[in-house]
Amino acid sequence: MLTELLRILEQNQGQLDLAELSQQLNAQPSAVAGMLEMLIRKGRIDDMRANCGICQSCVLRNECGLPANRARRFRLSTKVPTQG
Amino acid sequence: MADLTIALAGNPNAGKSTIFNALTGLRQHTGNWPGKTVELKAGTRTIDGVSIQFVDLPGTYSLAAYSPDEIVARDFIVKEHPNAVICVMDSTNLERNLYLGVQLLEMGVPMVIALNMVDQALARGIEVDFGQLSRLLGNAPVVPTSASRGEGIDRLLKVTIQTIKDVKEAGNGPAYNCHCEKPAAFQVNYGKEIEAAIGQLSSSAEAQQLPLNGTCSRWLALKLLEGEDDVVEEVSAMPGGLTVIDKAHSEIKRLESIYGDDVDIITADHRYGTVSGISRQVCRQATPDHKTLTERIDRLTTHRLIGLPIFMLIMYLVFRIVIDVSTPYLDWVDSLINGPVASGLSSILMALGASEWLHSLVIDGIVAGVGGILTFVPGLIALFLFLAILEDSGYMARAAFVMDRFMRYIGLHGKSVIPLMLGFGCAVPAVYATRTIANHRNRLLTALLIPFMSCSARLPVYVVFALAFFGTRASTVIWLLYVLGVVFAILIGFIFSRTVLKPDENSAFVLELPPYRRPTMKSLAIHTWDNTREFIKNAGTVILAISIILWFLLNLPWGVTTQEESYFGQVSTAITPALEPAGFGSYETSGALITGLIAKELVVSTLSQVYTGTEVEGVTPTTTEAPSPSFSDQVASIVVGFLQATADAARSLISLIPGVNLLDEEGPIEDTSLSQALQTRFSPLSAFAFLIFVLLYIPCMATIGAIKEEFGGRWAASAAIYQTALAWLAAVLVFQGGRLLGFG
Repeated sequence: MLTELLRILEQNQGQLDLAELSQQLNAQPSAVAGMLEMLIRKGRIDDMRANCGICQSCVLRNECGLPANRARRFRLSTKVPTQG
Repeated sequence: MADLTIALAGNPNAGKSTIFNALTGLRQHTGNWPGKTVELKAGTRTIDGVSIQFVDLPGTYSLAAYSPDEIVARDFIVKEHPNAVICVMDSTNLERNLYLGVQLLEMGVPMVIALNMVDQALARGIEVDFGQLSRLLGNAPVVPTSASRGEGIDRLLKVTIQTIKDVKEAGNGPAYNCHCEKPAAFQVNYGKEIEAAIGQLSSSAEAQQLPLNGTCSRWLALKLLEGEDDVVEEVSAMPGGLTVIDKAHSEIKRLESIYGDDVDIITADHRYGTVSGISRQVCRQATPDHKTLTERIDRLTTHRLIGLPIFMLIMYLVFRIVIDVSTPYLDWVDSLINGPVASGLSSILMALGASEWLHSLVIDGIVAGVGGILTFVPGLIALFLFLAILEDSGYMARAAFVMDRFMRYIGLHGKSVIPLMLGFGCAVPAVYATRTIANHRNRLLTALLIPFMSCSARLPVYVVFALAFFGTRASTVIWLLYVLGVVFAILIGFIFSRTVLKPDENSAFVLELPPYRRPTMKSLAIHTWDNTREFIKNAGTVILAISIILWFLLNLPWGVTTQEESYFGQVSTAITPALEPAGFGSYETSGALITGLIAKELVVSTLSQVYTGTEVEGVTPTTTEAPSPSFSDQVASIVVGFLQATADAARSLISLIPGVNLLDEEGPIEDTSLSQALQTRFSPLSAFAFLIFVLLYIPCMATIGAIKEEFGGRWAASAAIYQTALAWLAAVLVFQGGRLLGFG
């Protein structure tokens, strides 16, 4: 499933929302979210929301719901394993 | 010391703590796991003379030992050897919850599954075959529960105690080192190569007689192959452990060369595949079309064909509400500033014996300039409020999703949409927000397109001209300007992406849309006030300063009799010929556009000063004392004016409903003093051409500065030049084309 997810990300030229990705993997969206979290931990995917520093410098960051409500975006990291 | 220990494990929000509280009542205490800040809750209960300690482990999605919670949960099971683990699973998210479940089963500990929230699953049309689930999980008992309703808890306790008894009785039979060695016990099949490596390491551990102390050797081997640091450290410290570690290293190298990837990715891959298969076999969607409210709404808002029209319709409605409903307040603020405020200040200045030039500076300069901008605060409050509603509700994420399809035509992706949308507020933070885009070419192109997004500073210009020349269709015209900005951005992006900024890389990404939620009043108020405060602060600083400077430029050299002869007039007149083909070739508009380089709001402020600075409502700028209304009359007029504006705003709001019209024929729009002045200097066609120019021409200096800082002076200068050229060309085409078509 994880390798399939990475393959889909590599092959896809545009964006996929979580619903489309879970449909392609035939998995529940929450499960796909879990896979994405693991891949982020392994450095295989970048969570773009984590890289954005705009909210970090905002005095309202602890009260604001915007970071949670902004669409999470993940980008395939440049490290691609070579298939043996 | 309790007779039995039962641990509760599960994903966060699966209902674990609710079940724990139901099992233990008030007989709980909290303690820290040694060496960690993670707290563990424990509680006791005596049943049939047997004391049972329940331990509520931290909620985790896995036992991968990335976080303290995961380490504590895993270590408790490995080191404390609870008699059983109750794995609480959320029935509505079974697949994700099963991932932890199978990891717990792999540890070889007796397990009972509490399939929680079955009521919510049924409400969503999800049916789970409990029996099949149990069979697929190596006959681990599955007990449906609804912890929030207190259902199934007693049965869960009974089944767990029975499971512990069964294990004890089984201990009298064939000797199994752990639960997973029993026949038909659950195991994830990791494929031939990894299974072989697990076998090798298990054998090595047994051969070295590692003191496993009840730890499942298969689980240990798996953790060593996955390279879990703390497990490696513990085994290294055991007698004979280093031999096992060496073996693990060589197996890891072998597996990585076969799979071309890290072992833990491959093992997780197999686990996800297993839980996915189990989930598909045991879950049935009773009503296939049964979706959450978020999913139902998203079928429309992210639809490939109608998603964009929906977005445009929503933005159109927002602008209709912002303009139509805020216009009465705009008129009220305008009459307030040019009436009581100006007359009050004038009276004070005259009472203090202020000189004529100081009087003129204050009234014709500051009040006209700053006041001209503050008039638009009601409209901006409404705009910021509605943008905050769209953001907080989660809809903006859908808008970003919909716009992404068009981004692809210019070689950009959805990650560019957020900086572009920030540009609707202010271009400066939007340019800095492009730092989230890793690819330099995409970053640069996004930054170059941001100025085409009509920032909030342009709104006062749009509003004053639209209301002056297009009456009840003002909101439509303003909406059209915003749309045109986006269209131009896509066009320019298309040209750039095929010429000077060709795409060099395409990276796919996944967009996770947050669920819709009801915005809270507090959040809306905070965001609306925060944005409005910035605007007012700007008015009190930059615009105030420029208004003062502009007054001097309009009145110097001393003794000039006309504005055209002033320094302002002389500089503005120099560029006026260039603007004549666009229909607004006058020193006033030229000068206003020049001040717009500093801040776009200054366009209105300057026009207000230039056109209305000597015509203040109710004020005669002479040294003789003119009669002024009493204080009480002024207060009364302010209050009455506000109430009237509120009534007009309410009528405008209700009149938005199709088929309802509470507005009188002339509509609630009253011309402000600036509007009246503009109507004598512009025609509707030249006004529209002017708006097009303002939409497209060079962004403010702060934005140019941001582009220079991020991408260099060359690109900043290029942006200034091509945008101004484009603005001029578009405005000339609109004006001359309109004249040819007979609109002029």
